[in-house]
Amino acid sequence: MAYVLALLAERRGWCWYHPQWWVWGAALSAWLVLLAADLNGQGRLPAGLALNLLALCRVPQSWALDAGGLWLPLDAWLGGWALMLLAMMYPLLNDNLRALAFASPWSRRHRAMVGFLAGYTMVWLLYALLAGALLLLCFRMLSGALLAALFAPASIAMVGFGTAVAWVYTPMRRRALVACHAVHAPLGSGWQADCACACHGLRIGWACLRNCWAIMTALMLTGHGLPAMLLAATVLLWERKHLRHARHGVAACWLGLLLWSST
Amino acid sequence: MSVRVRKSVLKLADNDATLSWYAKAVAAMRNRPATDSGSWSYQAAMHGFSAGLPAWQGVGPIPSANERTEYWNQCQHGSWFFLPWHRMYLAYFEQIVARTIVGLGGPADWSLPYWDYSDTTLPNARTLPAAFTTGTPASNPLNVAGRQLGRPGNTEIPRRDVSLVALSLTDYIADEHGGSPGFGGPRTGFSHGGGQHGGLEQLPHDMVHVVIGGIMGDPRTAALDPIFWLHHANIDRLWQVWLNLGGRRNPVDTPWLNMDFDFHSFGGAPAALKVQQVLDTRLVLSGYVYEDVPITGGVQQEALEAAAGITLAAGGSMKSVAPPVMLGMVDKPLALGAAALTTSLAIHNPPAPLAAALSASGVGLESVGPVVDTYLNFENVKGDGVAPIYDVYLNLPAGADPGIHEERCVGSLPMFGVADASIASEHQSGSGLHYVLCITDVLSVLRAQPGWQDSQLDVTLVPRTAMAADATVTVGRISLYAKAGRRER
Repeated sequence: MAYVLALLAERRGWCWYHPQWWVWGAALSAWLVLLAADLNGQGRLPAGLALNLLALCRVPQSWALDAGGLWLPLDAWLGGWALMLLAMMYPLLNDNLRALAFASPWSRRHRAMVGFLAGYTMVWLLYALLAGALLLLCFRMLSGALLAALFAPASIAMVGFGTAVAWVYTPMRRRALVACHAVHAPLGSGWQADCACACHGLRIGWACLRNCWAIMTALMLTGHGLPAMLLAATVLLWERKHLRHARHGVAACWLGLLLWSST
Repeated sequence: MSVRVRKSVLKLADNDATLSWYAKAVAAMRNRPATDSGSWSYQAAMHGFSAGLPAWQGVGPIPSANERTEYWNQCQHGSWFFLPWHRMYLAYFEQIVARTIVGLGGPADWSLPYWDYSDTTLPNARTLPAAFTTGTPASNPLNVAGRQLGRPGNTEIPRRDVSLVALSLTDYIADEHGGSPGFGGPRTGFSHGGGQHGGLEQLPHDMVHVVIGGIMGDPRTAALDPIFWLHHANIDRLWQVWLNLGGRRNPVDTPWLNMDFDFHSFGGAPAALKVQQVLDTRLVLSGYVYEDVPITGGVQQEALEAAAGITLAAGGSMKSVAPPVMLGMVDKPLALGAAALTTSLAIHNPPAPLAAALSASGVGLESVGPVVDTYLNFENVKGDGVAPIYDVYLNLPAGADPGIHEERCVGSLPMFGVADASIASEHQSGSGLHYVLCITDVLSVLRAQPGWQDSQLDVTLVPRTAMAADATVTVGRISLYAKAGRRER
């Protein structure tokens, strides 16, 4: 009994030092959902969840399913993005969340992180809406033959990952990568502090979007699988952690994904 | 080649040629174009560069954008890489200067001297060495225009600005947000600046930079001043002194040990070093040691304390029993100006975890007693122009002259690099600087005095010099943190 109590006390101590633990839990859950969907036949989620979230991350395929109607199921579209966000982007926020938690009064640590994540997520979901609207526009305005040529897997891979490789070498991306590490000590209490945390989340979300939009969009457009997602998430996490201007390594990985998707 | 011996510039014999050869090498390197990695401009720009600053006007052709991204603006500040990066930087610089001296017909064993401004046994230790002030910038390559130190009324660095109190810190790595800055700084990735400065970086490193002033007062121009290299040689020496005190050790974390940085060796060949390759100075490039600082074995702590005028804490690392927790904050940003500013900070009761931590901890630890340290944090400090140093006082009586209440002074905010850290760029997030001052000792004195209130703390920031007309400084937040721990034997 004493051992169990000591173990619990130790675990509690660990949580004190890592208040962002539950975000990792959420990210892990997202990976498990994606894995389950992938294993459950052609990426379909179990019955009951009518929409194929994983496939909806793959625009050409999902569009092919809905080619007759040419409409975008908004909730599934955003759901798919949210799942990708949880799995791939939330782990990148480890240091931001931990710093914010410790910069907040003890009783507000988790509330501060929730406010931050709300702001952060909003940026990405707005981008998803914008991207969805652009795709809808494309599909409604372009002819079938042109669409088929534009959205052929090889073309998409070339354009998508090619853009991601080129983006790695731009000063805008280097600036965005550094901005992802911005720190902010929230002022006030109550709603004032909530707003400060959400605004910080918006700022980091905007920096993160500028940093990662190209690779995330490429992954979405090319009908990526779990291994590609995992590789991209690992590279982004490594880059975020080390914050070197190791452009060549990152670009080489995106180039590898390009070749992989083209074959 | 034998290991170089870096000597104290204050103890060089009258007929020693170290500085005269240094001056000749500086002049020769200044004649090289900035596209040459062995030039004075290139070496300085590796630390920091900003084309818009007056000191960089007339630099001439510069390397390609790609090369600048790879090699310029690389200095590590506000990071646990501060010490190893500067060690590498100095080693390659020393190699380039030494080879240049050989090319000029000088000795083969030239080594970079260090400036031990903290040595209280030597008169004039805190004034700029004469070789750096004689003549004019036109006649003496070691003399540069614009330094503040050496002007009437500012002839020597104030003693408290060269304090070696950082040697008392037993942990290399900073605590979590709000706690001890650590001797070497916080865990980071590649960090060109901003953020929380480590103990040694804050004092004396930052303070010496800004007290010398001029181009030394800004990280984007500092390495253009020849005294920069002697200052950093001393900081590098203090790292070894700290290790020699015992009970202190470098991080063993893989991300720290495996981090590598890019440089150029003499002749321009690209080179890189990992942190783990520079932990023993005898193995850094051709190797070097510091005069009077053994690489193995301890130092005489009493002698060091007497020379530096400090009392060092007992060895042994602190075993944390809870992370730092916030006890209060000033609820609004503060714009600092030319006048002293006082603000009040409401102190709340420590949250249950901190209160309970001490009693719940210690099981299985061979501890020598609980320690609760208190820290005053100045976060998101941003500014523009040449900001003055601000001295920080606690509970200063209204209208009192800060000069006669030194016992209430808890430290200073040097503002080194504040302008650079305030602008978002490829190298900075624009979050500003973060200073942490340990106020435990001053608080314990204040608590014993009449009028002490447990619920409030007055913080006064006093500018040390006049503020430039175009300068601005804002402190995003002032907060109070406490951390409980036990010192392990």
